[in-house]
Amino acid sequence: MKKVKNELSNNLRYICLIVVIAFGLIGIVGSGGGGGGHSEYFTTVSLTAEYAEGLYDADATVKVDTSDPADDKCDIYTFFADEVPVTITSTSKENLPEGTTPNPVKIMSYTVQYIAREDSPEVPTKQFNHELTISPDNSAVIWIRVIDQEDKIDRLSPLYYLDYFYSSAAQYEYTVIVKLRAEEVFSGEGQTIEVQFSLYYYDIADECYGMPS
Amino acid sequence: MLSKTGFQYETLIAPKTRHMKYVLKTFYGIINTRQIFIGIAILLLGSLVYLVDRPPDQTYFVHSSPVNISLYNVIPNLFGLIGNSLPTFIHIFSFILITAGLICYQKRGCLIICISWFLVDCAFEFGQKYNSLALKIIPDWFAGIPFLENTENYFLYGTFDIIDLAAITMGTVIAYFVLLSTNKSERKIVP
Repeated sequence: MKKVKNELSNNLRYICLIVVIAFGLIGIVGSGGGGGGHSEYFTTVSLTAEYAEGLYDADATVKVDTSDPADDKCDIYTFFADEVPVTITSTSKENLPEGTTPNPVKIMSYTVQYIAREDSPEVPTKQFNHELTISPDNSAVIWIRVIDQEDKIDRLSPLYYLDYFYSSAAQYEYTVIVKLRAEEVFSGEGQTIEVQFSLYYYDIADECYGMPS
Repeated sequence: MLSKTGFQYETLIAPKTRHMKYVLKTFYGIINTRQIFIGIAILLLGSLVYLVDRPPDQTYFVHSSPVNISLYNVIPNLFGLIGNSLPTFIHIFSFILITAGLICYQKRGCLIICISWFLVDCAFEFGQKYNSLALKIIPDWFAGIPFLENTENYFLYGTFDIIDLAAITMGTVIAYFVLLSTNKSERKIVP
């Protein structure tokens, strides 16, 4: 009887062993043990933002300037929209199996997220629709809008840089994250990629009548 | 309804319970729970690479999970560059420990287990390099079966990486030394 029980224990051990081996093999194909570089795509995409880190001039210009001190409208501006070039590169995978060709990738839209630093005012995440197809091993440049056109009135705008006496200098800082979803044409496999860079945002000095230039 | 004092419990259930208890006791006596525990713990740690550091659509088990288990972009990247080959290292290390914890008593057995898992992992890695050969071996009935259905994708789209091979070798060697240092010297062998 004891022998039978011991045999049962052994059998239980071997059943566990089979389960472990099965899990081990499944773990490999389920990406458990496959290591780096897995991808379900023939063509991978990467992003590069061609943006020199540093102060970004909001490029404000006086919208209404009567040049008359009595009717000074110098505090009314328009911030012009500004864009940063982002290069999207598609790279076909190495060691493609015989008979397969890399596919082009399609960009449908991108989002621009602003993470405010210090006491910079919050800027909501924006989504832009931008359809673009890139052939394998090619690159394309898209212009990502980081600053919208905006009217600034008086010093209520959060982006007011200098006051009349140069006594306040507000510079706002953000980490801008551009997220982009690319889909491989034909296979429809999607990849989400992102690039981030710093944005320092400020207004240039006013050049109105009676003010220092 | 049966009660512990009832006739049926004493004559039918109690012997079976005692019998099962004995089987489980013997089972625990012959396995190395320490090795199995280390293996499982490291394996769970390795799964964090897929959950945190990699986009969910790049990993089959995360992508096919009915609920969103991915923490990618939820918490910051944990492993950095090492995360590329860490799962390969962890996979072989853990499964050597778990397998040996179940069946191995001696140095020789541990060595056989290490070599076996090493060959298996290397075969899968080389299968990504020579994928046309690997794809011919995959049976058609794998399609539609969870996990097995990904075998084709694994060989078709996976990338052979020499660093993965180094990770497999390192995982095997380290696992072997861990096995030697955690082997039960007084382990009971079931006849």
